[in-house]
Amino acid sequence: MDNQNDLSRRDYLKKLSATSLAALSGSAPSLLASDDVSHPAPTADCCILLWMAGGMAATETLDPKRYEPFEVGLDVEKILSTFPAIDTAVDHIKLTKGLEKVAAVMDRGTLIRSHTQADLGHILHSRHQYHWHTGYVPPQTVAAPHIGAWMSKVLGPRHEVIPPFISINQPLDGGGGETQELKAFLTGGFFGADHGPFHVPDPEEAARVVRPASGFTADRFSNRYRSFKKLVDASPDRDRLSSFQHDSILKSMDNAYRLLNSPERSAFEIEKEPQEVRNAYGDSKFGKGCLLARRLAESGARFIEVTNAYKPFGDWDTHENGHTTVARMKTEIDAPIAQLVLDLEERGLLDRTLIVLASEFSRDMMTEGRPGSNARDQSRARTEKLAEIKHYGMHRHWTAGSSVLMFGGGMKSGYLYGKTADERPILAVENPVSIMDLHATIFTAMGISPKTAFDIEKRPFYATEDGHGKSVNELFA
Amino acid sequence: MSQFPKVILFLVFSTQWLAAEVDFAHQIVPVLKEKCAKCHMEDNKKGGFSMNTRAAILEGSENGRVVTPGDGAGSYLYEAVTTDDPDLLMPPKGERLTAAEAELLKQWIDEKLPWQAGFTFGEESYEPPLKHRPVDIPKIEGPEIYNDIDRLVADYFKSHQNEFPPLVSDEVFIRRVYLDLIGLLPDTEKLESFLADNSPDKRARLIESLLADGVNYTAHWLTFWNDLLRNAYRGTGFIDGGRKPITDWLIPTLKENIPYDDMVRQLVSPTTDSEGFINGIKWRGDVNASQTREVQFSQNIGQAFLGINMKCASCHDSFVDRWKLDEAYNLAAIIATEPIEIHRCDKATGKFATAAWIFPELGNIDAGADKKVRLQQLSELLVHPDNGRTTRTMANRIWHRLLGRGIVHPVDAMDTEPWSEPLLDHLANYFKEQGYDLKALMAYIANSRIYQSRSMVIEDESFLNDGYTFAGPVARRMAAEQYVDAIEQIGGVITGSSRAVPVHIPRAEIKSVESKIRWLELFDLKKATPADKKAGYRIRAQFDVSPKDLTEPQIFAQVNTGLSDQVKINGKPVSDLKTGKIIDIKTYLKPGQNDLEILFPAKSRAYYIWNAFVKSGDDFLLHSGAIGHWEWARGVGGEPEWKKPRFLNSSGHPAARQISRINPGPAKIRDEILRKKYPNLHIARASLRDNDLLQRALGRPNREQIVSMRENRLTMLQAMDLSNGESFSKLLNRSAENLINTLSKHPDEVITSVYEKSLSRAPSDLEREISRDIIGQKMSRESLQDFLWNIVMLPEFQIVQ
Repeated sequence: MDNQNDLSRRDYLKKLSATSLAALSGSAPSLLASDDVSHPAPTADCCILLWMAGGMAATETLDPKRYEPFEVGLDVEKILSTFPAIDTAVDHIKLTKGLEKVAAVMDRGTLIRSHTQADLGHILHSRHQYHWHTGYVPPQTVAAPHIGAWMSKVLGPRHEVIPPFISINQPLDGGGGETQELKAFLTGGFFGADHGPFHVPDPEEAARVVRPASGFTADRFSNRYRSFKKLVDASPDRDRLSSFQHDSILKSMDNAYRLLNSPERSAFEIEKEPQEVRNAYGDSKFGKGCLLARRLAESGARFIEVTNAYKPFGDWDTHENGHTTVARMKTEIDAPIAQLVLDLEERGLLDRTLIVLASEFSRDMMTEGRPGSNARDQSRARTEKLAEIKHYGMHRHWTAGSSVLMFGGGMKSGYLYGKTADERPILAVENPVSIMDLHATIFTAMGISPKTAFDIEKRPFYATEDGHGKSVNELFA
Repeated sequence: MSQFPKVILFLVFSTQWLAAEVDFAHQIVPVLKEKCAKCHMEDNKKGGFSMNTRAAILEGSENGRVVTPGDGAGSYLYEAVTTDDPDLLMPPKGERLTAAEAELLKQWIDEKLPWQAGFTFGEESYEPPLKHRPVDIPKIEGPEIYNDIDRLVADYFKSHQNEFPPLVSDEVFIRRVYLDLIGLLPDTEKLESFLADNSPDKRARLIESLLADGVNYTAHWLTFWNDLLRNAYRGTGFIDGGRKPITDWLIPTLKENIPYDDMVRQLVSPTTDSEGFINGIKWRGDVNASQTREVQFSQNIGQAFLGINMKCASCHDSFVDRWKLDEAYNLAAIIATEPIEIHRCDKATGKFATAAWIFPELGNIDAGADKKVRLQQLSELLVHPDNGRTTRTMANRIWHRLLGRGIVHPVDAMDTEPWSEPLLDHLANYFKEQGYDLKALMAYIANSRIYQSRSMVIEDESFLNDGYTFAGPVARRMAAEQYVDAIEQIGGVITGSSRAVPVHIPRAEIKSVESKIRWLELFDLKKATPADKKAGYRIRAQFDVSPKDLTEPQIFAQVNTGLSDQVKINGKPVSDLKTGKIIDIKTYLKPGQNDLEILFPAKSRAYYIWNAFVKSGDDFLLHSGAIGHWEWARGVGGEPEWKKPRFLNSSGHPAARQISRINPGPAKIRDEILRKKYPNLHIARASLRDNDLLQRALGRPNREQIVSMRENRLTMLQAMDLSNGESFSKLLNRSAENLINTLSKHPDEVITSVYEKSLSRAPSDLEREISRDIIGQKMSRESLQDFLWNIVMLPEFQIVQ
């Protein structure tokens, strides 16, 4: 336990930051007091979102359907999966070939096969990802916070130096077009920069993020901070400075310095892991991100997102050559996901850590969007019969039925929820779970009422749209 | 409860209508208060229905009439409190009305809702005046009265038991006014001459000279306007032309100090350069009805120009202010080219909007006119001489920028009460009388005693919100752009990027230059025969120069040669051409046909670009003969055997072989060309650059929504970026490197210089001592970098005092 002084000091700082945020910035949100909102008892203290950016095809991964091997001349209409089904640790749950390691830990997980997304007309990854990450379809009249920002805002940090909301693998600069638009939701939104993500663009370089900049020795860095404190104290105008602003700068500098000097920052150093552990997570950037996420979850992060980083027409965003690409993607995700589950379990943390694997939508071979959608066909491998391998795969975006995999954090083990049709259209035909309800479930597990609202620009803004999100109670153990 | 005194008051006078059968005071008020207050009284207007006043009850909800006076049984209100349908029952939660209570209500409605005149269940909600109002300037004189602003402030202080804070020193003043008006720090020379100046009007003259610095004024206020008009250079919507920047309009507008009324006219009834504002963002795919371009227009016009929040009302009648769904849509209909159906919470209502203005007292829109006329009419209504809401909104924004907190605050909540109505009115009147001159308004405020007063010491930020009483200026944190500019200023560092210009280059001009840059993709020796590879090759272009061109004093050319190390014109080597610079080649040229030859030794891959420019006055024109006919030959020595190329390049010109485009050739060349015309291209102000990692980290927004106030605090994540962020560290490192080469080698002089540049003051003895320790015996780049870091982290530096 922390000693009493630390606690009161932290409480004080927390209070300070809450009141100060709710002030000068015009878009300052304040918690709406409503007697309808009582927060549920949390079943998880930490949430790890494994984000499959680009639209992971469910029938190629977590929801196997009729498999047709590649054969020149085959009617593409016949193909539902390009991978055969495999057994898992749970009798009635099958996955697809390439996910053997995930299959082996399926008895620890809950699989939703009926996740659905809104039809937004023209498919744009940035808009669907914005929707999934904030719960609100863009554009919005105010900057909607990322769900991680909600957790940071409502629950606060779990550890005094580990940032509550950490984003792993999302590149920050470069990239044009749609990758620019991703920046709109990877923020604290109207909660402000305090609740935005702490970015770790490259897990291999994670230690860099919490270490002095290159060229700095630890001594130089500490000296620099010490002399700063001296200069602040020596400032002749000190007493005339507006103290809340003055204090907020010093407090933030102090917090930053403490993280940069704390023993906990070693949580960011995946190179500290034994080689066999590193091997178990594999060589992909995503795998390294999972390993880092595990270390951060252990050290007290509140919400961590690990992504494969959205690349237009790359990774899960298969507009052609889907089979080949998905086969590669599975080699990148299979081992680290399973290892993350096992490692957390071994440390006794899985019970209180909610892992959620999701994607902005699924994919289909034939239909763009969903039946009746006016989404434009974006396949780059249009054909009625297979002629070459690039035709083989799910090359159209699909919003009417996708899969979400969850582990730990109070969810059931070896549990299957929802179902998609066995023939096209592969719609969620049983217990559909919208983004809103999925968020309500995640929030509930974390101890946040889906009805939590903040007042922004004189109107209520809810954790789930209009406070209507309903937690899927069947998923809880 | 806050109503309590009013109820008492009402009881005293209630005898007037005791003759009525229902006793409103004793029988109706308690029922309504107990069962309806939570959703329909004070600020609550669920379903758009307020029961604060009789008129409000009669007005009904957004779904229509709630009571029919004289017909209690037929009134919806009676049905709602008596029904068994749980979806209709009122109140929806808690105990329902007893049968007796319901009957009382019915009877009350039958009796046409008797009410006490002037009685309200809610606080009297503030309704700001629409028109300009004359203000009586109090007759107060004294040393603290510089202008009428101070008279009004003095009067306010008198009634609030406050007095003017002390006048700030010249050091604090010069730094404040520089940062506020042009966003830069005063340089040492300016600081010294200002301090040495003993004339009484030196502050006024400084204000005047800063506002006269059009380039820096523009670069600074661009941040404010880009935020307010949500103008960005990259990001959402630009990918497919769904959004258009207004930069080409905004920059000259600010530079020429176009009056605000004309700015509004040009934004609302726009030219092609300014149409980006009203057109908003067109998102690909389907959007919520409250986010169509037309409704965005309604919201943006309301927020930017009038400080009115139409965001609530564009979904349903506002619960928090007086704006109605119809009004939001009618405003939207002004820009619509098709009839727009009113949607309530994204559901079609079957009703269509009619173009209309929200303050009909000033006139209205001719709904039958075409869009262009309607927009023109709207623009005139917004800046109508009697429209005091537009002027008050802008005057309040400028006050907020210069004094740290609005007279109305937040500045977009112009429906709420100012802390001083006379002051706000006076500023708005002044603004109008000065012909909507923004600089005149800024000068007026900056010349007041209150602007020149010491900032308040505020312990708790909440002081600025609840029950705020004005007591003096509030210090503010530097904006991201100011902060980056200030550091670059101290370090004398140039940060380059393609848009890094103090003088904005119109996009059309950039495009025009870009379009003239020709690529010649060449022979790819990787794919060549072994003989080709061994020998290397050369290429030759022939182009015409007219005798008239040769009368120009200079002819410039640019060749980007990739791997070549030799360029010849008419057989003479032109050594500097290969470096990619633009150089004068006039002496190499002759009238008629000229030969350009470039030799490539045996390397794997090569490319080049060739352009010639004729200087014409101040302009540089692309020489018509810049693109000639190309030939190539194997080998770089001996007599070449010229051959026709086998391919056309991407511009359709003959090339040896098509290879991929090579970057970043064109941007560099483009900038070189533009630099000839814009010699200050290298001076970078952060506001003109694309948003980058550092600026984003420091709070520069995405600008998808209007941002009228930024965060005023440094967050922990921002502190992390400043403590160990790579890009910030590099910036300081470059600054240190530059300073070590340009400043004195004597640490004491460096310390004084950096303090003066950064904080507009000399260091104290103690500060000097600590600084000396940081810099060390022998000043190195590292130790200087550490010193700079220490200074720019100081709250005194980060906050505009």
